Amino acid sequence: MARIGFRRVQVARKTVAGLLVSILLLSGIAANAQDAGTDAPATVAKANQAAEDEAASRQQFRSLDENVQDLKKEILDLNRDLYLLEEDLLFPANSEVAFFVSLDVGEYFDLDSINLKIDGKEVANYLYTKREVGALERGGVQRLHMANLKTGDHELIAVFTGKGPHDRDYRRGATMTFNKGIGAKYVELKITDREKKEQPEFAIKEWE
Amino acid sequence: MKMRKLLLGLVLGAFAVSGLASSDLTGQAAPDFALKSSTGENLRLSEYRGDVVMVNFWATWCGPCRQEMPLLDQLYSRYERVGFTLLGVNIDDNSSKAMNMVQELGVSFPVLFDSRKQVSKLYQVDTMPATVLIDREGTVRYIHHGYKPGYENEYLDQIRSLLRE
Amino acid sequence: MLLRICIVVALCAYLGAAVQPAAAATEGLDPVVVKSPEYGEVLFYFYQEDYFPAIVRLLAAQEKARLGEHADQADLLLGGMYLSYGHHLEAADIFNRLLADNVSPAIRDRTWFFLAKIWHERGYLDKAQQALANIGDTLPDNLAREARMLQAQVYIDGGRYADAIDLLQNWKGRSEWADYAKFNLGVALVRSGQIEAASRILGDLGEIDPFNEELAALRDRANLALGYSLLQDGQAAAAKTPLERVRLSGPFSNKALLGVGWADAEVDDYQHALVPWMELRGRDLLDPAVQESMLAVPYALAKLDSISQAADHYLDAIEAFNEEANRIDRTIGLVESGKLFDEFLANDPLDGTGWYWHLKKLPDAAESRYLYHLLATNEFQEGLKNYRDLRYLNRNLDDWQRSVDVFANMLDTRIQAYAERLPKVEDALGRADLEAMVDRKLDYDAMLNEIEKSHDWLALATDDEFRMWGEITGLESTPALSADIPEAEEARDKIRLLKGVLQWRLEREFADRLWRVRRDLRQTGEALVDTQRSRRHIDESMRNEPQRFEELSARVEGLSPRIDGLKLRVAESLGKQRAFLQHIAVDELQAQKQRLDIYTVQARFALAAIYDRAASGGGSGQ
Repeated sequence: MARIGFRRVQVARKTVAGLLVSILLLSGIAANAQDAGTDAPATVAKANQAAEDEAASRQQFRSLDENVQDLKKEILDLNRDLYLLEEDLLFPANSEVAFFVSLDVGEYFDLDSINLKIDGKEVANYLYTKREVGALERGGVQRLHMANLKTGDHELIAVFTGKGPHDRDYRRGATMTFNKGIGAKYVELKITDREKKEQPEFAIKEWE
Repeated sequence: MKMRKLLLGLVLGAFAVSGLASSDLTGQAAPDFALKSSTGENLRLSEYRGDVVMVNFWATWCGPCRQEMPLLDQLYSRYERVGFTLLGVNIDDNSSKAMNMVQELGVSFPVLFDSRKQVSKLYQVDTMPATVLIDREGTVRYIHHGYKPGYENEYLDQIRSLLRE
Repeated sequence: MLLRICIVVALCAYLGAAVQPAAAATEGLDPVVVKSPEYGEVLFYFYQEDYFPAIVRLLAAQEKARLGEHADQADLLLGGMYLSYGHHLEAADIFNRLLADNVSPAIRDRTWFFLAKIWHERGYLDKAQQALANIGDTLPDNLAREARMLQAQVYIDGGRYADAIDLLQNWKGRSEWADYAKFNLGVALVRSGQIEAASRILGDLGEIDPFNEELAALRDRANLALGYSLLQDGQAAAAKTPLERVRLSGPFSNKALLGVGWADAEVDDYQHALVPWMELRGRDLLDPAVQESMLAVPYALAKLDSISQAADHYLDAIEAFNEEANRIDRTIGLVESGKLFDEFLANDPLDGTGWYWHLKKLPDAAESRYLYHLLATNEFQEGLKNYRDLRYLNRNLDDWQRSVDVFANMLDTRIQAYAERLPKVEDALGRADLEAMVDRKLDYDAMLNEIEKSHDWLALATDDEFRMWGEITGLESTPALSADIPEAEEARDKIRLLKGVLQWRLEREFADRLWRVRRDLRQTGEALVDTQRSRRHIDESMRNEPQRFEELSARVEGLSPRIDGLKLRVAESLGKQRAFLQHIAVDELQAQKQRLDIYTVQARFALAAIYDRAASGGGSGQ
C-alpha cells in the first residue's frame, strides 16, 4: 500500500506539474495581451473598441481555456482510473519491466515465433499457435515477459518470424536501448505494417 | 521407481535434483509448453484442455521408442474422435532425422520438436521413452518410464478410465 | 395235513415281490447346466430327497414362469417327485399332460416309463403293457433295466409266463434286476403249478454267487421257494438240496431248517428230522417256524415212540404259547394306548419326506420285537410314512402360521411408512418445476452454441473481468479522449494496451471455460434426466401403490383361514392315520395270537391223543 501511495503522489506531481506548466503558458499569453492594452490613447473610441474587442476575445479565450482545463481534468480523472486498471491488469512492480506484444497489420500475418533478448540473454522464445495469432489479430495484447532489471540502460533485441502475404517467410528484428527508471516500465513490441505496407516491422513503444 | 530415481540421483551427483526429493509430477498441473510440429504449426499443450492428452517423449536412437510408436498410433486413431490427443515430443538434436523416422513409421499423431530439450527438462524426463498421461483438467495422472511389451495394455486402461471422467 | 398247512403257510409268508430300488426321474438326461436360480434351488432339495420343499418351489417357479429352458424337464421332475412323494394321481396327470405336448423323445420315453409304473401299481395291467410298449430307446441303462423288470412283472402278473421266461432268458448280462425278476417269475410259476419250469429258474438263482447282502438274501429265498415247492410237489429228497443251501444264520434259516426237517419227515426219517427241529426249538419263539418246531419235535418223538418225552414237549409248548399270548396281550394294550408309537416316532428327526425312508430300528423295549415283523410289511411302512408326512405338514403349517402374522405386520408397517412419506414427496415434487429447468438447460445449450460459433470470449468472462471490460470500454468512450492533444493520444494508446491485455487473457481462457461450461451443462442434463426418471417412478408408484397394498392385504388375510382349515384337516388325518397304524399293529398281534392259539389247540389235541392212547393202550407209554 505504501508503494502505491508513493506512486500516486509521483503521478499527481507529474500531471500537476504538467498542468501548471500549461496553465502558466496560457496565463502568459493572457498577460501579454493585457500589457498590450495600456498603450497611447489615440482615439478613445478606438480604445473603447479595442477594449471591447479585447474583452470579447478574452471571453472567447476564457471559455476555450476553460474547455481545455475541463478536458485536462477529465483526462486526469481518466488517468487515475487507468492507473487503477493498470494495477489490476498489469501488476507491475517497481523493479519490473513488462514486455507486451501486439499486432497491427492490414493483411493477415501468420506470426510464428518471437525471440527476445535482454542484455544479450535470451529471456523469451514464444511459439504462437493459430488460436493465439487470431487473438492478437482481433486486438488482443500478449504480455510476453516480465523482467526484473536494475535502473539504468539495457539492451533489447527482438526478432519475429512468420508467414506474410503471398506465403512469404518473414524474419524481422529490432534492437533498442531503453532506460529503466525508478518506477515500473512497459515496453510494447508492436508488429505493424503501417510504415511499409504489406511488410510487417517491429515498432517498439515505451511506457512509463 | 522411487528407488531407481534415488540411484540415478546419486549417480548423477550434484545435477540430480530429482533424486531425493519426491518431485514426481503426478497429481500436479501439467506444465504448459508450445513447440513446432512436423506440419509447421505451433502447438500448445493448454489448448488441448478438455481432452485427455498423452505426451510421449522419444528419440531416434531409442529402440523401445521405435517399438512403442506404432502401438501409440493405434491408440491415437482409435480414441482421437472421442476426445483423446497424443503429442509425440522428439528430443533429437537434429529434427530432420526425427522427421524421417516419423515418415518411415507412418504415424499420424502430431509430432513436436524439442531440440533444445526445454520441455523434456520441464517434465523431468530421465528415461526414454517417457509417457505422460494428462486428464481433461490438465493434471498429470500417470507417468510411465521406458517401454516394455505389455505397457500398451496399461495405457489402454488408463486412457479409457480418464476418458470416462 | 398238518404238513400241507404248514408248508402253504410258510410259502405265503415269504412270497412277495422283491423290493425295487428307486430310480431318479431325470436320471440319464444330460447333466443339468442350471440356467435359472429357481430351478437350481429345486434341484438342491431334490438331490437331498427332500421332495416336499422341492415340489413347492417347483410349483412356485412354474407359477412365475421362471424356469426358462428347464420348463420341460421341470414337468418331468415334478411328476417323478410326486411319484416319490406318494402322490400317484398328480403324477399320472402330469405325465399324461406331458405326452400331449410336443416334447423330446428322451422326455417322452421317461414319461411312458413312469406311467407304466403307476398303472402297474394300481393294477391296470393292459394300460401298463401299452405304456411299456411305447417306450423308445432313449432310456439310460438304469431305467431301461427297471423297465424290463417292470415288463417281466407285468407278464407274470398277467400270467404270460412264457413271455416272462423269454424276456428273462434273453436278458444280457448279470444284473440285480434280472435276478429279482427271475425270482418273481419262479414264484409265479410255482403258484401256477409249473414246478418244472419253476425249478429250473429257481435252481439257477439258488446257485448264484452273491456279492452283496441283497443278492445273498435273494439266493436264500430262491432256494427256500424251490425247496418248499418241491416238498409240496412230493419231491422230498430233491427238496433237501436247495434247502440246505440256505444260510444257517440268515433271515431265512429258520424256515429252511423247518423245511429240511419236513423233507426227512416225508420219507419217515424222523431221527434225522429231529436234528434241525431241535436246533430250531431253541430259537426266538416269535418266529412261526420256531413255533411250529415246538410241535414238530414232539411229533417226531412220538413217531419214534418216545411218548413220554413227546408229552413233555407238548406240555412245554402249551405253556410257552400261553406265556407268549399273555405278552402279546400286554403289547396290544400298549399299542392301543398309543404309547408304543409315540416312543418310536419320537426319535425320528422328521427331516425329509422321502419315499424310501424306512424305519430301521425300533426303540429298545421287550414289546418291540413283536413289531419287527410289521416293519417288513409294505403296508405298515407306507402307513408310517404317511403318518410322518402328516407330522411334517403340520409343522410346515405351523411355520406358515407364524409367517402370516409377520406378513401382516410387515404390510402394516409398509402402509404406514408410505402414508408418512407421501406428503413429503408430493411437496418436493410440487416445488420442483422440472420442465422449466429442462427448458432453461436447453436454452443454455443454445446460448453456448452461439457463443462458441461467434467466438464470444467476453460472454465467458468472470464478473471481475467483465466489470473491468466495462470500465475500459466506458473510458474508451470518454469524449475527452478524441481530442487532438498528446495527452489524449497517450491515454488512447494506454487504453488500447490495457484493453488488449484483458482481451488476450479472455481469449486465452475462452476454450478452457467453454469446455468446462459444456461439461457442467452436460452433467446438469444428465442429472435432469435422472430426476425426470425418478419423478416418473414416483408418479407411477403413487398411482399403483394403494392398489398393491389392497391386493397384498387381501392375500395375507386370506391365508390365515386357509391355514387353519388345513391344520384341522391334517389333525384329522393324523388321527385317522394313527388309528390305522394302531389297527394294523393290533391286527398283526392278534394274528400272531391266533396262530399261537391254533398251535396250542393242536398241541392239546396231540397231548390228548397221547393220553388217550396211554389210557386205552394200557400200561406205560412206549
